[in-house]
Amino acid sequence: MTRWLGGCLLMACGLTLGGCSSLISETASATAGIASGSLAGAVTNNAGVAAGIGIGVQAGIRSGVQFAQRKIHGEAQQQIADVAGPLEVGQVKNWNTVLSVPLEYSEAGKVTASRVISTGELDCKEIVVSVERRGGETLPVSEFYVASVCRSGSQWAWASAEPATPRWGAMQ
Amino acid sequence: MKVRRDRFPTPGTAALSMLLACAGALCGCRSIGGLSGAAAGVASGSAIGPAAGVAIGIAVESGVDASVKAVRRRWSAEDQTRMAMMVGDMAIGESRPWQTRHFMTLGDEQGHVTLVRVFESSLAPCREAIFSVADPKATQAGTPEQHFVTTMCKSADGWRWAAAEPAVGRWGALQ
Repeated sequence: MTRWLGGCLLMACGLTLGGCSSLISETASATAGIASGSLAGAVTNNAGVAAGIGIGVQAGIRSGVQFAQRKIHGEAQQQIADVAGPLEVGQVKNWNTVLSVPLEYSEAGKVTASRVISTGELDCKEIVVSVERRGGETLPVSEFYVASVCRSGSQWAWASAEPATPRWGAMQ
Repeated sequence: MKVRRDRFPTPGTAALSMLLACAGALCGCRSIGGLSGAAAGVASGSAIGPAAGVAIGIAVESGVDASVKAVRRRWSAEDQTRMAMMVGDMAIGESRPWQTRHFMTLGDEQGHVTLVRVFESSLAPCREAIFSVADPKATQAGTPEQHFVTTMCKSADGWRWAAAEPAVGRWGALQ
């Protein structure tokens, strides 16, 4: 059984190289759930109570980790938007993310404005972002992404909307 | 789904849970992690005690959930790159059929993709495309196809999907 569990986790690790955020959240919440379930098992003979405590703690930790991930990724988006917002079309600047909690890799690259989407009251731009370094290491091939930023007051903010629900697929 | 039992001569409860997990992954069923966790928890709980059962159930659920997500993400990445490479070859206004084919036809899709805009940014050449997704059921019912807009950029590796993630404030139920 233990060997099978190990295999299952290994499989998860091997497959999640590209996106480890769900693994962080799963691992943290599972570990906490298991620990508290076992702890509860030691103080109560009631299987239902032990299971309830284990699963409750697991759910709590999972939403806590997801909250932290949103906060950290929000910081990263804001740092890129701060650099990208004031750019003229064609102008290029370097960006890098400095995260308050190392829940994801810090990244660095360049950003340019490719189009002014609208001006005036609704001040929005289309930006092209390159990611050249991740976690202090230079990527063999730079990645490029297209996003939008809009100005609210004096501050620019990431403005790409979520994908249409039929396109959520593996994200949820 | 038919399970070929002859490939598993002595299917214990763990193997059975794994089978369940695989079957669920194939159908794209999101609750499969919970179901296989519950199965493993019940199986081991009755054998080695409730606390161990809870622990094993939770571990199995998490492992299966993460694995299913990882497989689906890899499939999506391959599908996105295939469409990006196709769009990279097209001329503005050109439209071509696209399709995705997966193991056991799971999550297969098809439609048409049209290149609508080509733009040179200071960092990379990029393109904007509109693609449709044809749902056989919807087509039968006479419902028009749904259309989606996306962007691709050319890296040293070739054309790649470039639509960035939504702003954190719009993640909502996505996470």
